[in-house]
Amino acid sequence: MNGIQVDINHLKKGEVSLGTSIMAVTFKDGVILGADSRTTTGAYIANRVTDKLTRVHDKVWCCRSGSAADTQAVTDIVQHYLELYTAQFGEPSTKTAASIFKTLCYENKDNLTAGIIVAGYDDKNKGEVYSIPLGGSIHKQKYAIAGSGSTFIYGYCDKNFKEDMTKEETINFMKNSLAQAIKWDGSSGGVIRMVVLTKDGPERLIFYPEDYETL
Amino acid sequence: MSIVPNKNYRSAVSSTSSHHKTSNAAPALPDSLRNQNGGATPLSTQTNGKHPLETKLQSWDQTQRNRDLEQYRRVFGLAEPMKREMELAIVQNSDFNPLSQSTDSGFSTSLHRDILLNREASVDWEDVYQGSGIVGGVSMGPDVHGAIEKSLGI
Amino acid sequence: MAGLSFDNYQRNQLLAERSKTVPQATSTGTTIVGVKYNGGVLIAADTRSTQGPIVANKNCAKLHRMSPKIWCAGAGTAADTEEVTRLIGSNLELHSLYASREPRVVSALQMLKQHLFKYQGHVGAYLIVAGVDPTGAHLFSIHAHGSTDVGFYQSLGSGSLAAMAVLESNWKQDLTREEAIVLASDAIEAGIWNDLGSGSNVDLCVMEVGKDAEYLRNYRTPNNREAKQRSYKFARGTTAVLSQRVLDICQVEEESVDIELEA
Repeated sequence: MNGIQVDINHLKKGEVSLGTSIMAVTFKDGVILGADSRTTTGAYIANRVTDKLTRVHDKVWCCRSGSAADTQAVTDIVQHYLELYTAQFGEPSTKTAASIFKTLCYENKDNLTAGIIVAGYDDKNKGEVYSIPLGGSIHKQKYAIAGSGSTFIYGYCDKNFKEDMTKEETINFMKNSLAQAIKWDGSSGGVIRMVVLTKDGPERLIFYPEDYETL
Repeated sequence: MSIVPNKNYRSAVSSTSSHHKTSNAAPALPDSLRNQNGGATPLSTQTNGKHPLETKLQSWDQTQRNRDLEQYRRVFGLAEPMKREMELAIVQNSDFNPLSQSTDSGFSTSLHRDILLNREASVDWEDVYQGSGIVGGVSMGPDVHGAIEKSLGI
Repeated sequence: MAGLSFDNYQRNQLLAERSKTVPQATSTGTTIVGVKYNGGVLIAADTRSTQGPIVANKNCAKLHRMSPKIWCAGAGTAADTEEVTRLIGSNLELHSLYASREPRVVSALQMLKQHLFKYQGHVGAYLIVAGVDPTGAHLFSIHAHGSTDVGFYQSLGSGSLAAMAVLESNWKQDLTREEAIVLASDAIEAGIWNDLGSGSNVDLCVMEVGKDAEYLRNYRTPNNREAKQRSYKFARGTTAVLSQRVLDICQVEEESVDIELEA
C-alpha cells in the first residue's frame, strides 16, 4: 500500500472557511469586538452577512477565524461549559473563558483549524482581550487582530492604537482598521460588525460598505 | 478536553500476540475468520490504508464522554465524574440480558445505561445498523461463524 | 463495526488504484433556496437528480419533512441528505415526545450540525433547514462539515449561484407570502434554466406561523413535455403472427362460499 500516511492539517476539501479580518480592542469602559462578514467556500462567497462575533457568555464574546465548522463546534462547547460554570461559581471572568478556549484549541490542534480572539468585560478586570492563534497558545493583549486580512493592518494598528480611548475613538479606530483590511484582503468583505462590551452589557453595531469605504 | 479523536493508525503490529481469538474446534490455531486483525490479514493493511474516519468514529462517543467528564471535574470537582462513572459501572455490571451478546458495543438494550449516557431519547446509525460478526476481534451482534459452529456442535 | 462500515475501504482503494474509473455516488446537482417572509418561511427545490451526465430522475423530491412544521431541502450526496434528515427527523420526534413540546428549528439545527461535524464532512449533506415553532419562523443553512448560517434568504447546491443572483436582485424586507413564493420559484427556475445539474419542476413548502405546513409538490412545471406532432405507434397487425401457443401457467379454482352474516 502507500506507506505511512502523512497527515497535514489544512482545510478539508470543500470546507467553509472564514478568511477573515477580526479584531478586539480594549478601551476606557470595556472592550469592543469587530469583524467583517464574509464566509467563503473556495472562490464563492457562501455568506456575505455572517456573524463572526459569537456570545459565549453575557459579557464574554469571541471572534472566530479559520474553519466555520470547527470554530462553531468549539464555541458551542465553551458556551455549554460556561453555563455549567455559572451555575456553580457565578459569572466567569474573561480569563476563565479564554482559558477554556485555549485548552480546547491546544488539545485538538491536530484536528481543528481555529484562530479565536476572546474578549470580555468583568467588573474586576474591566475589558480584556486574549488572542488564541492556530497552535493553541494564548496571549493577553491590549488589542488583538487576526485572520487573513489582519496582515495588512499590523502597522496601522500599531501606530494608531492608544490605551484608554473613548468608545467613539475606539469605534473609529476599528472601523478604519477593518476598512483597510477589507480593502486589501480578498477573503474579507461585506459589512463590519461590532459588539461593545461594558458594564451595561453587550451592544451591537453594524456598518455598511457605504459607511466605511469612504472614510 | 478532546473534541475530535485522533486517527489512531497503528505503527506496529505483533504477529505473535497471544490475545488472538483461537478456533473453537482447534484451540491451538488462530481463527482467521474471527481475527480480522491477525491471521490471514497482511500486516501492511493493519498499519495503514484505513479510512481516516474509521478510527475517529470508533472513539468518538468515548472522546465526547471524556470531555464531558473532564468538564464536570473542573466545575464540580473530582467527585462528580467519579460518581457518574461508578453509577455507569453499577448499571453495566448488573446488566443481565442473555439475549444480547454485546454490552459495550455501539448499541445497547439497557435503558438504565442509556439514561446515564443521555441516550434514552435519541437514535443513531449504530442503533439502526448494528453490525454483525466479529470486528477487531470483538464479537458484535449476531455472529455468523458462532451460530454455525453452535448449530453443528463444533 | 456498527454504524458506517469500512469493511471494503481497503479493497476499494486497491480497485481504484488499478482501474481508471471509480463509481461515484449520485450527487444531486441541485438548486435549493429558502426565503423568510412576514409571518413565515418557505423552502423550494428543483426536481432533477443526476448520475454524472445522465438525468437519473426527472421528478424527484428534494424537500424532506423532519417534523410536521420543520422541513429541509437537501443538496450534495442524494443518499446522505435523505438519510441524515430521516435520522434527525426521528431524533426530533423522540426529543419532542420526551419534552412534551413541539420540536424547535434550533434543535433540528443543533442535532444536524453535531451529527455532520462528527462525520467530518464525509457525510455530504448540504441542507437548508426551515420551519415554524413556538418561537416563530426560522431559516438556516448547514454545510457538510457542520457549519451553519442564518439569514433571510439562503441558496445552496450547484445552481445556488443562479438562484442567489435572483434572490440578491429581487429580495426585499417584509415580503408577503405571495411575493416570497414568486421570489423562491423564480430563483429555482433560474437554477433550472442556467445550471446543468438542475432541471424539471419547482417543489415548494410553505410554513406559516400558526398554520400547518403546506407542501406544494410541482408548484411550477415549466418543463412539460409537449405532445408529439405525429403518432409513431405501429398500427396493430404490423408484426405478422407466425404461430401462437397458449400455456396454462396457473389454475383458477372457483368455489362459492356462503357467509352467514349475523345481525
